[in-house]
Amino acid sequence: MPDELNVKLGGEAGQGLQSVGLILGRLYARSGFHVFANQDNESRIRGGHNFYQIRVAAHPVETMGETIHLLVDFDGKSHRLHASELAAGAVVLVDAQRAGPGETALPLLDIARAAGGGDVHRNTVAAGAVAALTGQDQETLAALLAERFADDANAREINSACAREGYRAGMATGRRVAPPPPSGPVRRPFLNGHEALSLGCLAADCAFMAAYPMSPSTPIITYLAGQADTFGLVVEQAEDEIAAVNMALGASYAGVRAMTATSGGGFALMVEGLSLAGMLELPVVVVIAQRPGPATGLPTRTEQGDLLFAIHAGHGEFPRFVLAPATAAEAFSMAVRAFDLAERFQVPVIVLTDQHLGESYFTPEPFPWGDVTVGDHRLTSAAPPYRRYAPGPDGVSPLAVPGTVDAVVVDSDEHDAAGHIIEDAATREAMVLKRLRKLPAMRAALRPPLRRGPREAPDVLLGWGSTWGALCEAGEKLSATGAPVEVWGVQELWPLNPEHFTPLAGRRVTVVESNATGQMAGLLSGRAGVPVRHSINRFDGRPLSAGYIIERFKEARGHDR
Amino acid sequence: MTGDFQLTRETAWCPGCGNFAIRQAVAQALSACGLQPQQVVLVSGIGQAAKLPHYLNTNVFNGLHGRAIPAATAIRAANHELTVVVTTGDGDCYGEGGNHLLHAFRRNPDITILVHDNQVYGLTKGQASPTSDYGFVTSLQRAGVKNEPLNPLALAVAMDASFAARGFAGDLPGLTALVTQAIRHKGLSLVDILQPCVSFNKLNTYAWYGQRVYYPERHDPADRGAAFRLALEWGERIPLGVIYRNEKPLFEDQFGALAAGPLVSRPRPEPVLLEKAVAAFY
Repeated sequence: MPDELNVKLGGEAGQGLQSVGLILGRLYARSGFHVFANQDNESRIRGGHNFYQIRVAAHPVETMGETIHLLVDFDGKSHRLHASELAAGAVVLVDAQRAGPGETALPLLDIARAAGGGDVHRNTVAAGAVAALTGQDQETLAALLAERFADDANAREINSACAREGYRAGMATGRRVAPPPPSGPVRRPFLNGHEALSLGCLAADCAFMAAYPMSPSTPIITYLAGQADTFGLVVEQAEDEIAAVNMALGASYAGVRAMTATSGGGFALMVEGLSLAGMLELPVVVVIAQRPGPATGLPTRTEQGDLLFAIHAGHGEFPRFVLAPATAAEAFSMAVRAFDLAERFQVPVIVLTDQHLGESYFTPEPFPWGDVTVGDHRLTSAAPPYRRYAPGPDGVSPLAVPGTVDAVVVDSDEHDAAGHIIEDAATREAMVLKRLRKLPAMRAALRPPLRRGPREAPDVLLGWGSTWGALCEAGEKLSATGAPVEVWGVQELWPLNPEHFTPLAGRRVTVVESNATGQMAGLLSGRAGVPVRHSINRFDGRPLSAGYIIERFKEARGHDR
Repeated sequence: MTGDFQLTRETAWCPGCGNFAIRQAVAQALSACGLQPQQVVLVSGIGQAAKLPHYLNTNVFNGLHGRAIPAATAIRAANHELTVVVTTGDGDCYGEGGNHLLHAFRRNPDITILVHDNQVYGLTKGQASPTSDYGFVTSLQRAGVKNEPLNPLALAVAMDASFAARGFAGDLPGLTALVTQAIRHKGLSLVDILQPCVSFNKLNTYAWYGQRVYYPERHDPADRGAAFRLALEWGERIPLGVIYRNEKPLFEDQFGALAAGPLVSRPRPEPVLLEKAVAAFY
């Protein structure tokens, strides 16, 4: 028996793959499994071919599995498209009366109709069948559906009937592909990177969010809008990204924690606003959910192509943080940290996620709400005359809220300590130096890269952001074959602290990134003197997997010999 | 009272500029509204008009070219106890930031937008602006402006603005009264202020405006049809005063979060709320 189960749901946009995936993922999580789920969607509303893949294991999993044990073919072409991924003895459920070779027929629509449902309930039937085939408890599934349709008695009844009949039909196939039993009764949340990040924003006391919808960032504002009345937030859909970032800055000026979220193209429109944040020294958090560019690129797919853009965006010279969370758990904690760093240093903080992290589901250990400490770096009062840009330690000036002091003056022109427009050379030079004086303290505030695996290993696989799960799995597998590899994940990546990379001296470093030009590799070799031996780059819009990394790593090492 | 907002500071404006009268009107209007400097934020973008906030004693957010309105809207959302006034120019508000104006009409935040409309770009040395008259000759538009001018008041009426008015920098008492009304009005107030540019606009001068402007004797600003007709009037006669007024719900009133008080003084969410939010993911 394999030590994990991988279920793939393939179908057209609009067939409800995400609904089945969400129910199943939650079912496994509720039963104590570790789960990772990723999705592959085309940029369309109906048709095409999408898939949703769920990995279930007794051990922690933070990247997708690469061998499918159970495939549900909703569109009549998933079997053909994914045949090469199937494990020996894999079950292929097809939505049909009669099965082809190697398939098990499950007429979803007929079953749905018999249970009082219709076309839209095929996915609930499928969820029931998959639960049965993978040995899951029918009652847990029933409870999940009852919760999901708590507000609609009719939908609840039909869906539970469809799930029940689907379960029965699944049992009747006589096939079983059960995962190994979970190691303990721990129940973990099942949530994606952007949901975790949004929760982190709430925990960080973010009070204002403005954004313009852009894939794959939109779920962040959507989630926060849904929580606005509960948490007391103002969430506004802006007319464009320029308005969004300027709104966030206005709110920040007025004294609340503020953010925006977008993808690369929208961030391009925000760049002048980022520079304004640098000049006004206003805290603001900007999430860039990366997708492949340039221009519109592949709107629903993944890439890490905006690292250098994030680091260099904005005219003029000003400090900023760039953070890139690795997992859902880190997306949560890093959101909290982003708001804190922004306010402490009065700088913009960019959080770089991507489609893969944002839309992949994790089962992190229960969130440490009690551990969330939210700093408050604003003054509550000050004796007049208040001077917004008065010199302070590490270049950080006292930050007051308008209405609580005589006057808070901020200006996008170069200004004096009071915030008023100036032209003279001496003040200009002093203000530039004041802003840049934050950098050493900012650099010191950054945490060193994550590390996993043998520290004496001659080989290092290094990545950043969302590739961490795949890197760790690749590192473990390579190490297990007798070639020890240490894995590094750079997550708090700007302003780069070269001291963090001194342990890489004299080792064979392979930098792995979801981009074509090796942006991190270039930064590390250019700015930290890291001896980059190889680069592994994936830029087809699909996420890096452990298998992909291992194969290319072996190729690269082969060339060394 | 006027003294509260007055600030002795050397300006970067040309001698004789209409901006001086506008500054005086704003200072007097803020005082007439019984406001103290701490209670007011002047928000601006870039241009000579956008420098006005620096020449008064109050809170200032001088941001990017064309982007004062989104910042002002969010300042109100974050603290709706503040009085927020945008000082902007025709290029800043109708050109670079035109999209934000359109959507500000739709949102209706309680902000006052004072557009110093001199029908020319001053700070970049005399190019056409969105409100330059057709045929207006500049160093850049040598054969004259080829585009029809934007009509800000007709736009405001078409967008069902909450308050739309025209003032004239050559009439300080009238302008002061108009700005006072605009600040007092609950909702978005747009005041397009005819402001002679003594350096770059030799056509639309104090005399040119002076011969044309008038206050209509019988006009009901609540009558949208009449307001639209008045807004279209331009040329031989240019109407001043409140063109259109329409009380409607405020942007700020539509957020549950703001019902209990300003966002800036809201208490931190209780940890139990976070626990509940996470519970939905199990």
